[in-house]
Amino acid sequence: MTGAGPTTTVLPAVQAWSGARLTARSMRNGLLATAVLASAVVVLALLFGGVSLSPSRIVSGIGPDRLIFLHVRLPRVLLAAWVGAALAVAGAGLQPMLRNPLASPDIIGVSGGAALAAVVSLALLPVGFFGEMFVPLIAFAGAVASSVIVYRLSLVRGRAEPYTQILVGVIFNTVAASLILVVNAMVDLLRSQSIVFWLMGGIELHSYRVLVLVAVLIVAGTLVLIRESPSLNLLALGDEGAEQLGVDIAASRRRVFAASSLLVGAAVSLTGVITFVGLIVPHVLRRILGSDSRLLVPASFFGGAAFLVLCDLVARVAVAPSELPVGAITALTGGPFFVYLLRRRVRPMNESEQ
Amino acid sequence: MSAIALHELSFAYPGAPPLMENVSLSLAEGGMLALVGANGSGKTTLLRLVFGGLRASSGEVRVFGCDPARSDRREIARSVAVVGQQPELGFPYSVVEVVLMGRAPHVEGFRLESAADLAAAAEAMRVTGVGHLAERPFDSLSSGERQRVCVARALAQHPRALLLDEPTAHLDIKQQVALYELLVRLNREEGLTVVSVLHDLNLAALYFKTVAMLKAGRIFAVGSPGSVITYANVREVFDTDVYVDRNDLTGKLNVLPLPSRLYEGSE
Amino acid sequence: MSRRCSRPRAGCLAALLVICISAAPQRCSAASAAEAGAAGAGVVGEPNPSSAVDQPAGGPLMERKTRVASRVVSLVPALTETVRALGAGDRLVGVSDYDDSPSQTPSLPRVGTFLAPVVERVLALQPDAVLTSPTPANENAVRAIERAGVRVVVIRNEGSLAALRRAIARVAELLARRREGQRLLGAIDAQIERARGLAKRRLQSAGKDEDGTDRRPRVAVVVGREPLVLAGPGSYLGELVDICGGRNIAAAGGGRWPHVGLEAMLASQPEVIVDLSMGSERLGSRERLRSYWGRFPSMPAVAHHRLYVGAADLFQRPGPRIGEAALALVAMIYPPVQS
Repeated sequence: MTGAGPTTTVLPAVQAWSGARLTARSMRNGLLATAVLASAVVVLALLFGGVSLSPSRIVSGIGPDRLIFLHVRLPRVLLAAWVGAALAVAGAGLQPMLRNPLASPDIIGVSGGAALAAVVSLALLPVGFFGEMFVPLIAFAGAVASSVIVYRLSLVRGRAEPYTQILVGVIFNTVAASLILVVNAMVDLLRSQSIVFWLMGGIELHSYRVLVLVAVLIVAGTLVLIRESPSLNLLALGDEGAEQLGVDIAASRRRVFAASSLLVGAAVSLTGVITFVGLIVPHVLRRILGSDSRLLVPASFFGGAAFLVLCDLVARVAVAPSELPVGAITALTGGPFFVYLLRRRVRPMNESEQ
Repeated sequence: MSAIALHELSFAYPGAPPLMENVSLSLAEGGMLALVGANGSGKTTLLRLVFGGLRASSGEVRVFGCDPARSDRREIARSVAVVGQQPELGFPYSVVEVVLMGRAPHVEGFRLESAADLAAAAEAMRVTGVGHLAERPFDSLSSGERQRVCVARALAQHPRALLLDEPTAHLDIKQQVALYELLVRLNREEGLTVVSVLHDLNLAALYFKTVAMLKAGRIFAVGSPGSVITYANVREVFDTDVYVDRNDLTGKLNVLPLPSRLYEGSE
Repeated sequence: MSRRCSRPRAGCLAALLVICISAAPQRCSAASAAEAGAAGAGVVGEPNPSSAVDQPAGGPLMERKTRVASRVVSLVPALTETVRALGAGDRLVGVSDYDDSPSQTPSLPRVGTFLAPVVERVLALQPDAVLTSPTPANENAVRAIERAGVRVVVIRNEGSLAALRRAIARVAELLARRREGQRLLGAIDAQIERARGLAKRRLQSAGKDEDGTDRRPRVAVVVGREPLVLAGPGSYLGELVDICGGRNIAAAGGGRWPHVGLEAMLASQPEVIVDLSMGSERLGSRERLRSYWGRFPSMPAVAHHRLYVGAADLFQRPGPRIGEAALALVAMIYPPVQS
């Protein structure tokens, strides 16, 4: 029983309890299932849209189909996938770190700071000044700055308490939103339009170069969170409990916060604020795959991609020829679905059916 | 070697009055120590200083020869397990998942639990009697069951020393007895060092070889139960009159409050 | 202490990768345009063209730039009107959602607005020129359209009359209808001059004092109500107010479309209010506007029923009908005397 010597009792055939904990098999199945789902949704979204494309014409290059596919459909779906993945992974990291099921990327203050930075630059700089990556860079810088500010402000006696972090993040977001309103009131009509559009959040069209850049950042952030996922499990026992099990919670918190800020900053800088993805996707996956962060974090990557791509598809086709704002779709689909899951009380582990 | 050695240990939060002053204590490996004292006397602080949750302001702490505040946390966690307050998980984990968390100090990096880890968890759950609850969600258990699961988690850690902070707070008398008997057995058979904070002086006298009584952050008395739990000491530390006697049946101390004084005087 | 010091090597690698990608020169969009640009005239119709359109051989960039536009998508109603006024309405293949003038061909496909163009639909029409206004809101879409090899003509129309004239000239040049452009500008100028003359005559007949007291009516042109936005002196509407013999109450602050506080507006006591904030006509909108302003009878405009609502289309599109707008405005500021 203790470290003083090996156990001398004869062990019975060890139970695996495979229904109640994370096994190699459930890990493999969970990742496979979510990856396949994400791929299927991406293919679906590439095929359908406001304009119907024919695969043969895309390949042969006759007509505008290939142009539309390469320059509109594909970059848009890819961006939705990456941003959805980033937001969901950030949510999957923040919820256990803050020990709060309602935690989401929106509450750590990063999206507010990014939006404020973008809005200020839109207000101050002349129209048409922007290079391709200017506003996203400013927004990203705003995200990084605000994450540092929020983190510093939330330190209590040198430690980042979850409760304080949530409070500071929410307050920071509120202040940022108010400042955005102030700026919006002071600028002329034309800039005001662009500010409002930036705030609404939407899957914009960016070049492949930007997409690759963002993908690098998102992969980096995701890898950090995957590495921290064992510690995320232990954080459920409380700060003391996790510390007693050997977790350096200050360092772990710092890394999770930094990675989440990176993910959210990268996402928000390109698409504006899209709510709900980081909240809903980890929750839904937790109900189906269980709470173990070692599976939940990577699974959220694929789950988030699938979710946002699907929402974007709906946004594009539901009221064609017009398009709906994708943030409305995420809220409208995510919310009720989550209520439905809560009522069904799905058992946490169901991987034997895979 | 001594399991726990404290030398002139002091602790205070910056700008606050000291919670611990010049505490010196030595517990040999295989010892069994009960920490008693009034609320706020520093018992929990002492435990925290021992496992490294707090860094001493001055003085020395050595746990199996290492300074917990300066050593690698996982290294310490492989030697020392703590059963503290019940966690509010916030997310649904099953009992076996919680017990397996105790294996974390032995699990390197990202890998999943091995057969050896499962065996340790199985054994821990068996001795604490929670094996039948393995697949249940932790949050659906009663507080007594949860407490036992926490003990199982600590035992799964395969520690050399076990620290407990009021482990029987939510347990009925049968479960309390079961837990302490388990601790005594582990201590005797496997040499597990046990340090427990408890309120119940009777249980402390019954099961523990050594008792340390704390008052206002200092060690008031330490020694065998008989020498520490006396009327005079209890009066001084707890400001309560008790009747202390030796029980004919067990040969152990009985501590009973004297009710007539409880309702007199100021509180 | 660095926040990311726990993963220095991976972090540095990622940073290096990011820098390399950002610094790499962007692929020349002209090359891609040459190989995949849209061809000439095809069948105008639904955004899913079924007719096979040939791929052009692609010429040098210079030739493309000066090529006359023959399939035009217009994202701005004012520019759509301009194209039509230049007699090139048959070259339009797509218009914006805001193009709702019922008299014009309603069957043209809608492709979103200049703030949010639906790029797929724009490209599906295989245009060779897309007309838009500059705004940060559509920059990503514009770049995407350009990457696909379609020319986007950004007509700056900051809002002054001079800018408006330049815009018309630019569109005329694009369509190779310079002569029609000159004619149109001439007609507009004539209308504006007529409005100016009318205003002058009516002001004189009202009796302007020799010592220079300004008897021009105080005019407020409301572009938005919540928040309250007026047409400032730098905008074409502000210039029109001036030309039509009115005194713009928003002149002091300057600017094109200033946000003005309601109190400031009340204090300036406008005698004429032109409210364009309702946009296109909707049932009951006029009544709602009137009841809104009816709450402030202290303003002479309200007390004397000099509140003009509606006709937003005419005023809010800085395009070929600006001359008409001038004449309409002078009738509002100096109503013809019923004799």
